[in-house]
Amino acid sequence: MTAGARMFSGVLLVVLILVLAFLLLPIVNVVAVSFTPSAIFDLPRSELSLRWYRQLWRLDSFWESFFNSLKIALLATICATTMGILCAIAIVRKRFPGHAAVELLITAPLMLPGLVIGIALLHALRSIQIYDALTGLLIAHVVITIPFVMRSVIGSLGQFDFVLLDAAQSLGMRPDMAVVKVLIPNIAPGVLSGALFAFITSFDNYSVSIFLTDPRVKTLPIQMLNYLDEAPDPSLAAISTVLIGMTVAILYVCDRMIGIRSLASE
Amino acid sequence: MASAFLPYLRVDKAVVKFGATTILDGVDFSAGKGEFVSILGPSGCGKTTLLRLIAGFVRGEGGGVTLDGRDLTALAAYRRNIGIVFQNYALFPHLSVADNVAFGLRARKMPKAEVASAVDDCLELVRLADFADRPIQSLSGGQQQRVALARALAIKPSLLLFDEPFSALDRKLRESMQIELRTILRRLSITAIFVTHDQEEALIMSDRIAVMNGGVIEQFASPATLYDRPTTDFVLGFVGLSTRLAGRVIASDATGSVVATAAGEVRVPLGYLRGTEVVVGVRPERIGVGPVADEAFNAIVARLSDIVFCGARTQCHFETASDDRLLIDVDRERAAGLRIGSEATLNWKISDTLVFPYVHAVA
Repeated sequence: MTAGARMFSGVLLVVLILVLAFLLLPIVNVVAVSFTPSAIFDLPRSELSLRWYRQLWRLDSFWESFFNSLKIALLATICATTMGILCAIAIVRKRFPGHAAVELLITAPLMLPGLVIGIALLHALRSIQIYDALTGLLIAHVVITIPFVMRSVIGSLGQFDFVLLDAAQSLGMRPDMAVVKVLIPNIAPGVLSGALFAFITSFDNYSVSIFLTDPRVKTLPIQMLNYLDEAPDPSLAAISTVLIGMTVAILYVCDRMIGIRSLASE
Repeated sequence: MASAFLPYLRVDKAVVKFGATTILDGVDFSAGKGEFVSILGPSGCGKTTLLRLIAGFVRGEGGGVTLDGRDLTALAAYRRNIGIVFQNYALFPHLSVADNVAFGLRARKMPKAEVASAVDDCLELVRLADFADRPIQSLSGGQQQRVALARALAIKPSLLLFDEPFSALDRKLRESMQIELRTILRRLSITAIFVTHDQEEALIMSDRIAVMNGGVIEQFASPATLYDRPTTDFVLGFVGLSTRLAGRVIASDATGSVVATAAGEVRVPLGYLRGTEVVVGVRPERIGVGPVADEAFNAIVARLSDIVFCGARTQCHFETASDDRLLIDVDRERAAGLRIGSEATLNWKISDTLVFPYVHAVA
């Protein structure tokens, strides 16, 4: 290795460390703050404390909005996954005119600003007489999460040979069972990573949800921002740490099931 | 020969259209019990569609499919009990070798112990008993092919369909698979329909061959009949090698006709109306080199343009003054006496001359 090349790789290493620090330090910081004994949103100085976790336990409004978000995210993920798979199959099979336009339309929420979708959906839902906040949020979250599932399933279907469904039928399997026993296992990585993204997107969404919540029904991100206005204490760091832990746990389970690499490659 | 069979499988006047395109245009097809029938044709001739019609993946507009006296026309593919070996094997990549073979048996809810022993038997049959627990991806092309065969055989199919199963294999492997397949099918006396575009493969393997072109069956006969007595110009050109000359009938009598081709006059053993446009054909091994003073022979003078050594035989390419090409098989000693560029008289028996009305190519 020449001196120049050695220096170049040294510089690369420094840049890499800086980028990683930039990305990860804020997260590490939040986790650290959550263990502070003081009432100020700051790093623990002398000792660690679970004070803000105990405080979290008493904040009913957090738990209510947490379960709202969880409920919406789970239902939205189930709906978006089912519909996303079906859309992906229809689009990959190209059996109907305008399939490219349909794909573009379903993908559109990915490219539009959340605020625009939020306003549009608020108006649309009111005009079809939907006033219930949970229903509205669920519909909105399905709309914004379908593209994630559809795109990752389309990716998986690109590797899938539809002749396998014929093969299953020739072996005596009903067409619907063939989809369950042959198609689904083969696109499972795409489905799982799509569903995961859908869940996280829904759970995390602020910009669309802000238009559809009401004073009684709030999602967790909105509740957290409200709380920040009222009482910016380290309990926010505590709940953030809980969320980070949840995410790591989900990723770990998915990694065990299908491997993190196939998640990332979708 | 065909009339001796009570057709086990019968397809009646099958018509299949995709939109405005007619894929099958009134196809009659049959196979006797235990018979090995090939469907041979160029790509786009409708042979795969005919196979998919029999399998139940394609619905025809007219005609029906009967198998062993049972009308299958309205029966869904999964209830037909027809095994298929697909072109790219279509093995389930998420399952092991044994699970692939067991797939059809589990779909039939066969008890576990029976499944296990049936899978063992089938893998034994295709000599893959040691590979049962392997993932599909770890097998070679030929091994995957045998798994596909074992999987199709496991369900004890009433009929076995093959969709160009050997097209992805290299030549050596293909030839050994052809023989192995024939042996297995004979032993189990299974009726098989084999789609291929490879005429050599069809000739080697089949009891009978249906030659398809443009959505119709041009000729349906034994390999020997197809080769010796093709009924259409297309069959002559598609099955085996041949020399073909286009011409017009200038005279006709009780023993045959005289056809004027650009390369010279040729006598053919069939009577035609004067002025009919025809195609005259000869198989390369029927043509001799050298002048023959015999009324029963045709003769044409041509120049040797190339000699191709093909192992057991040697091909000589001749060109006439009119730029028509003639293909001849000679033995090696004979070829050694020929020089490229030299002229020779080519002769063949009038009775070996094949002749067909000229069919204008449909664009």
